[in-house]
Amino acid sequence: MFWNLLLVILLGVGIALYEVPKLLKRQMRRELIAFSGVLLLAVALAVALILRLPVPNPTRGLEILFGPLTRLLYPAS
Amino acid sequence: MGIEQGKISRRQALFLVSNAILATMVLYVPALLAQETGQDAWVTVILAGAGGVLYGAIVVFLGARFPDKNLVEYSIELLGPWAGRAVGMVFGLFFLYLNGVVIREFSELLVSLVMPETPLVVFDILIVSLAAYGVYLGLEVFARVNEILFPTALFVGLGFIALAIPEMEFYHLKPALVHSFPALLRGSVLLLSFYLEGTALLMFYPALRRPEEGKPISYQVGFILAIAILVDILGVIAMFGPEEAARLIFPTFELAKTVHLGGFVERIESLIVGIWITMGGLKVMVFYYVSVLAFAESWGLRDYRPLVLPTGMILAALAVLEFADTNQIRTFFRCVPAFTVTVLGGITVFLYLITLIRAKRTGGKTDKDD
Repeated sequence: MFWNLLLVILLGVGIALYEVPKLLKRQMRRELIAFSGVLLLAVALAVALILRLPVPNPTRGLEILFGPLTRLLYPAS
Repeated sequence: MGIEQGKISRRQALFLVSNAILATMVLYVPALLAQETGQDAWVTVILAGAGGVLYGAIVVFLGARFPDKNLVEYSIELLGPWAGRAVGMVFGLFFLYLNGVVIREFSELLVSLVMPETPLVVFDILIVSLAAYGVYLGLEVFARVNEILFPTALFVGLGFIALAIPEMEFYHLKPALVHSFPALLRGSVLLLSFYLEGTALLMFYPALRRPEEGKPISYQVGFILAIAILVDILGVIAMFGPEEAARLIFPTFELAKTVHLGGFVERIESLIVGIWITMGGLKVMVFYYVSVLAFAESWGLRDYRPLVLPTGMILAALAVLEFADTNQIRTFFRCVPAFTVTVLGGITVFLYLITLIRAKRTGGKTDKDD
């Protein structure tokens, strides 16, 4: 678990080191903000999965959301 | 104007869309359709093909109407900045989620058929890295790769089914048209939901070299897919019979396993797995590209490349998070028609209607209509 955590964080830092200098050089502030937001979300998601924290599963949500229509289409199942 | 500067030909776009739809269709559809409509599955293919061509006509109408804009750009133009961006985000998130499903399917396939001892995450990360590399290089690059690989894959796949013909028993198809029309219609909605994934075309339609000539893509895609899936389903049902086909997880793979030729050509199903991974990798690339581009457009960025690597991490995590096991993927496929038809069909038809209303109101400026 420790090594996985370390790998994920190293990967996140590596991606940041690869992209941020290019963005700074081209003075893309908007892109930098979007990039940081998505990267933080990604690392947080990966860390939560490794630590087995209760992450909301989108599939469950979709099954609840589209369940009524599905039962209308396929009443047998 | 747009973010994407690369240009692709009409054939490349055609193959990209066909590949993006066919890659997962071949995996799960034969079993699901056999379960739903038994030996009459070929009727649903024809019904869904007609529906798919009709839907494709709406898609290329939108594309040809705004030849220099992609879906997010003209939904911003039509609906205003906030609602347009919301549509773009929904579109991007839909493809992000669905891409997670696709990645999971292909890792699951590799684990259960080829390398049962390897953890699923390994394949998951490998496919995502491959796709991230392709998307980073840009649309033109993977469109060209696909232009070579898709016809090859199609040819080899059809060749496999042709080689299996000696083992088939065509009486399995015999009591024809015994299923009720509503059952056939339900089956074709299931198949149609895969056709709807072709809406991805609208994100790279403006990259066509001559957008005004893109209209034939709709029925060409419909034709390629209908032929491919028809041959596949007929082969699977003639080989195993409808009951057995419905129980199998990957019927097409089982079909490839039965190929024996003169005691010499044996155990060549690994070739089929290789082809699936090729097609799957390219499908993941297309969806990955579409979602990243949709996010970049909705947030008003000048380049989508900074988003590629972080989104890849999210994709790899999503693929693990989404399902507990293969069975849950099949249960989820019950839900897929409602989900896809509502989100993708909803967005496309909504934009189509708004375009029509706009055209009527402004009058005169409808020279691009049919």
